[in-house]
Amino acid sequence: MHEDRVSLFPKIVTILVLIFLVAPLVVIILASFSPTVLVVFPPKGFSLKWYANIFTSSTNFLSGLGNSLKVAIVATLIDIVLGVAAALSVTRYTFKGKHLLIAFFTSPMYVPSIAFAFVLLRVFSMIGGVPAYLRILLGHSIIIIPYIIRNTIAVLAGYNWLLEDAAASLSANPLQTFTKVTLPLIKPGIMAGALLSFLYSFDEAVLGSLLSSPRFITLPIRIMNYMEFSFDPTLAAISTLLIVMSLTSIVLMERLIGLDMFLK
Amino acid sequence: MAILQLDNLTKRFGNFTAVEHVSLTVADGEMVALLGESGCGKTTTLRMIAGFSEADEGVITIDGKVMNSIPAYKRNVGIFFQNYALFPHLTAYDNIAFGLKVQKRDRHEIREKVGKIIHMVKLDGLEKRYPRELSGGQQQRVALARALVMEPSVMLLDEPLSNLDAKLRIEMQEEIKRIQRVLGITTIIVTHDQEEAISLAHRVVVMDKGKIVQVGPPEEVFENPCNAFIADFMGFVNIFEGTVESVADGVMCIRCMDKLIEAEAASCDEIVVGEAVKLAIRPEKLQLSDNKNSHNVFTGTIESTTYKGNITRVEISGIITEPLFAHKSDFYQKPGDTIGVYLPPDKIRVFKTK
Amino acid sequence: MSKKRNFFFLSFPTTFALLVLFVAPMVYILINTLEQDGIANFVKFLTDSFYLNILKTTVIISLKTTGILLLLGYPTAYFLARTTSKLKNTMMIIILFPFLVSAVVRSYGWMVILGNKGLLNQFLLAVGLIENPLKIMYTSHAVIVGLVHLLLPYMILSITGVIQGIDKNLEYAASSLGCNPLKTFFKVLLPLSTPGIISGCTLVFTLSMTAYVTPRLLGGANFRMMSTMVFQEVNVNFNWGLASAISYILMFVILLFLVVFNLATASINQRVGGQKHA
Repeated sequence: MHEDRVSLFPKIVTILVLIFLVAPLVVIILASFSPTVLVVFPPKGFSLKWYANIFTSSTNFLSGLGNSLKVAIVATLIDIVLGVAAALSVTRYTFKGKHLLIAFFTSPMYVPSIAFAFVLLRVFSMIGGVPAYLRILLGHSIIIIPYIIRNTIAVLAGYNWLLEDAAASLSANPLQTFTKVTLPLIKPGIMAGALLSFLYSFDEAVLGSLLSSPRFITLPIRIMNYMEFSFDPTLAAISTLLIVMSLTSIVLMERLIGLDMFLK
Repeated sequence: MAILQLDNLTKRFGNFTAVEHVSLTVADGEMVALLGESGCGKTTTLRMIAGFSEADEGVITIDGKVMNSIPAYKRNVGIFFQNYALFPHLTAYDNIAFGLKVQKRDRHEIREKVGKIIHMVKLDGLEKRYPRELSGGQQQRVALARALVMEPSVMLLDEPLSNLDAKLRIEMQEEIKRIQRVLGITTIIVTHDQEEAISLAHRVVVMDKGKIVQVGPPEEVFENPCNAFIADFMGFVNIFEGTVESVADGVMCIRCMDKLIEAEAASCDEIVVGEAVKLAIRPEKLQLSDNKNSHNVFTGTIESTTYKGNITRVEISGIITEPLFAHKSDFYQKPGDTIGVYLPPDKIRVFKTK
Repeated sequence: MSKKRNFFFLSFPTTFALLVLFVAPMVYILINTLEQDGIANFVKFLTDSFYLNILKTTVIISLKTTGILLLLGYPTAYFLARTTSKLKNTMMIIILFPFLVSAVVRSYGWMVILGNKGLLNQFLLAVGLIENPLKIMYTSHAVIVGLVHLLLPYMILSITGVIQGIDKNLEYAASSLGCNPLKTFFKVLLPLSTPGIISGCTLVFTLSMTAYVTPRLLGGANFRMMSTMVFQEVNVNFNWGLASAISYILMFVILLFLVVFNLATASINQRVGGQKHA
């Protein structure tokens, strides 16, 4: 297969890039087992004490984890319903101004999170009395919706709409057509998109920084706050857990629909 | 079974009129072919009958019942899609049973009907396969069975054979014909292939630019096209222009350059002396080699010969402006040879120049 | 007509949510800011060299990041698009996987490596290359490293998709016509993959302009970019008027770049003949 060989230069860059990309993550995983506060290489032993630390109340990582999950799950569920419907509306029908509507649906992507976070902070402080959970949830619901919509549009772009005509000719009404034909076929793509959006919300730290309250703080903010006064490998331990979660997600996604969706 | 009627059907897309004042009655159990080039409006017509697209004007009735405002899923019109449109997430069996299941029919009834139709289209043993695990021909049978199992009042076939290779095409053509004749379903088949239309349908409807230009039994459309466009479509390779010099007793004398050509065929058009006309003749109707006729014999030069297996295509120049083409079997003359060409008057079709 | 009704039914919830929770707040706060302080804060920002320098730093860091990303991302994307290796999927996973890890975690990893007592300094001291630890943490270099790491997957993915859409035979054709690999690259690949390069650059530039976590953690308290500045004005200086002005100026600057990028894309697409890719 000599003729299909890719030349050496891109190959070397690729290897370096791959090393560069995994390096900090590998370092974190190794650091999480460090017996000493200062991470040294090669490690002077093996310890699980930093993992135990996560579960002690002083870090509050567990409550942060719970809060982040609550926000990410609910925001993703809301946005699947909204986003899939919106994506259907712009793919199924042809009309003037379609591109404008798509641009509108994805507009939150083009606004800096920090600006949107600040605007929400001001609005919520004017209204008053909105709990931090709801503030972050609403904020996240807005910023992840473009990702769900774009992903669903991409999934639907590969969908053969004639199948809907075929179903109709076989006496399936529009609802039956959607539940028995369209939905089963686009579901894997939507699930993958939902997983991405879930992780986006779960990891999000900008809206979290500005909209949280002392009583409701999400995990990334907990971690950042912890760094302000301590830099021990407890951070590495909690980070390792998050890394494992992401790795699981990506493998899941690969199984669901393959990774080519990222190339569109 | 049912009678399908299209009355004055019109469909526009913006400024473009895809289908214009199409009227057609398809009798009970009849198979009609809509024949035309891509973009002639035949598929749009089909989609209106199926209910996927709304007619801007005109009425569609099935057994006298107006269909226009009835949604596709209530029409009981079966359709076979060009690319089959099989549900990729369902097995062959579930694809075929889809419609019956949607209608929540009795389980035994579904099993019986699906089993019967599977047998009819010769898919036995392939029930559990997914579409991607089936060959093109098998997928096609699934698509056909899926529509037929619903016992549609009208069946629509959209380019049913275009995705198959030549051998399979002939086989499926026979198959479709057999099934249609057995079940006696009122059927419309859309195709751009004249051979397919002629061999399948009871009646051929030729469409051009959204309009019906000729309707008739296959033999009539094939032998006696109404205008030069249809003639071209039907394989009249030699089409050339001339002027009518005289008309008497059904025989026309037509001048093409310095030649006088006689034609005695029936024409769709009323042709008068002095008119500019087009003449058309099939390449296989040209007679080469010396013969005893006194009229319509001309001498030309062989320009080229192309061996095509069963026939040889001979290009002859020097008779009229354009070269004439003849199809002959066992032809051994060489380019550069002189050759006599006889145009049988009864095989020449004459049309008005529009 | 039922089509119109269905369309409305499908698109309304999102439209409503975006109008109420996104468009209305963005517009309302802009008006409110202008009403309360007029354009004073905007003028303050645009005339004070302290603030202008922050804007300049943000743009320069973003441009540098984009440049490095292009240099690293293009060869990688090319390799990924063209390789027939069985490891391709594994490589894709390695590239995508950091993409799904929180920016907080990834910045933390770089802090462990780049810190004064970090692994890099430990290594360099041990090998004897340096005598005093290098000061990398809390400099623009650390921020750029962090941003490159953060955004590399976006760049690689944008370009890989486009290169995959370019027929490999075009490269063979070029070499059969006497182009060496370098010439093939400049005469064939580069022009055809320009749309991917532009969309990738637009994306990473925008994202690094608005990045918050990376500059905050790797840049430290004294390193300021536009987004960390907003946070500082809100939570430290409690100057909400100025925070508003910075937010909207940042948005405006990004919009300006987007327009320029889009115009460039349009003219290039025209030249490449609107080639379909990915």
